[in-house]
Amino acid sequence: AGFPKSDLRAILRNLLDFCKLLRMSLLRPKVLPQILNQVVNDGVTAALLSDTKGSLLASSGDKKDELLKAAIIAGIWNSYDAFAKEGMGAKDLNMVIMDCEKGSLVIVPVTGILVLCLFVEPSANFPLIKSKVAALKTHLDSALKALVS
Amino acid sequence: FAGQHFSGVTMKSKVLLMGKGSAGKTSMRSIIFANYIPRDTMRLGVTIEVEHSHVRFLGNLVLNLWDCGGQKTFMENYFESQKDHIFRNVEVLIYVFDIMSLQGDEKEKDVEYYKSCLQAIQQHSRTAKIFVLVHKMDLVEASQKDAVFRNREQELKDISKPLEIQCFSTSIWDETLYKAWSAITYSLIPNIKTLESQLQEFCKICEADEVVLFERATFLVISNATRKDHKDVHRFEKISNIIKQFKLSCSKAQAAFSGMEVRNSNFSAYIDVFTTTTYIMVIVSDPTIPSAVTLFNIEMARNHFEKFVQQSVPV
Repeated sequence: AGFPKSDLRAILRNLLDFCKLLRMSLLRPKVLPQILNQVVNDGVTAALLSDTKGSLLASSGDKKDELLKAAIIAGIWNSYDAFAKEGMGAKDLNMVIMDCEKGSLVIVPVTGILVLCLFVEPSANFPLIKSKVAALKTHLDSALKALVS
Repeated sequence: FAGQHFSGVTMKSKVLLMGKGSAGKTSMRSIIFANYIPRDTMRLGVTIEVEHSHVRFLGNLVLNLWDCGGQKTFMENYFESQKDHIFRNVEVLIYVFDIMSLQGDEKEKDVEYYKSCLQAIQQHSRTAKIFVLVHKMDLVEASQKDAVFRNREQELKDISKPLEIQCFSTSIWDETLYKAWSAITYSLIPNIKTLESQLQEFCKICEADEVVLFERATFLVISNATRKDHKDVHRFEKISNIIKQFKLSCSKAQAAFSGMEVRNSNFSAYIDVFTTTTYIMVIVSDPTIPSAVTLFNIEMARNHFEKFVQQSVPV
């Protein structure tokens, strides 16, 4: 889907650390940014992962105002998610694409409690980016499944 | 550490707090358990009855605080008629000496009382852990404190033979009181070594500088894991005091303290409710790690530690 799969897989394997003594998995703090790094190229200027409360978990690329962006993006996602479910009777909201003056935002949910957002330049190859996001979301979903269950 | 059975009834783990009158036991107990700050204790007055307060501590542990008034006649009467009852099923005896009294004319009487308590313990609760607090040390001249304490400690250890005791130098006006009670708490947790290893593992994965587990009611330090050495060895007691005073201020404003996050250019500190009996503090000095990640891991670890701490506490 447009990025070196083997690199991403290797990084994803590193994401969770299984604690032998605690008998549970925890998040390695510095691996999430490495994962997001894999998509910041070819028209994607930044990637951001936040929780639905708007707290930033990781970012890559252009980090300007990252905390503020995380909060705003979570807000955007929550509004459209509620609207899709209550207003339109949809079961799940899959993606929000926002076209803005200087580029676009592509937002997808991850494991039901996180939100992934890519900042895309106007000149970018949009279909390719959509498939990158979908693939990354799938990978993160399965990597974090152990934690969330 | 399992609750001992007596006539088919489970007796809970008992902690005795004893000592001569005005040794400072009531103030001490109030500060540790009832959340009075030192200034407030001057209003407490003299304890003239047995204050038999049940304090829930570390979940299943019930500290049965027998704050015997210690006034002369009372102590003599009470001792004789209630000795059996008082000294049975004791896990921990905490005996408090007023240093000024030990240095003065009352010394003989002080030691006599102490010896009778020890005899009763030896008779009724042979395996009880004994801690002796040499209290009101703030009244001793700073340059002489160490020497004075060392002398008293040696004396008391000799007097107490064959029973083994652990001595602490304490004052309600500094962190020494917490240090002593923390050490006492530490000795009451059977799986403490395992708990410490788990905390160390947690600290490493979070890439934290330090992780501290506090007992929830008293903010006494139960355990800590360190990845980066810190020069202030008294930091735990200081933090305990600060949080407790803040907690007290919150309750005065009718707000319940639940947690806080302190962030500056050097570090982030997260203090939050952890399990039903503990608070956790995580210190992270790496500025690239977002708060949400640390908080996420604390949340994940919460359930696992909950199970573990519950299992480790005597019923």
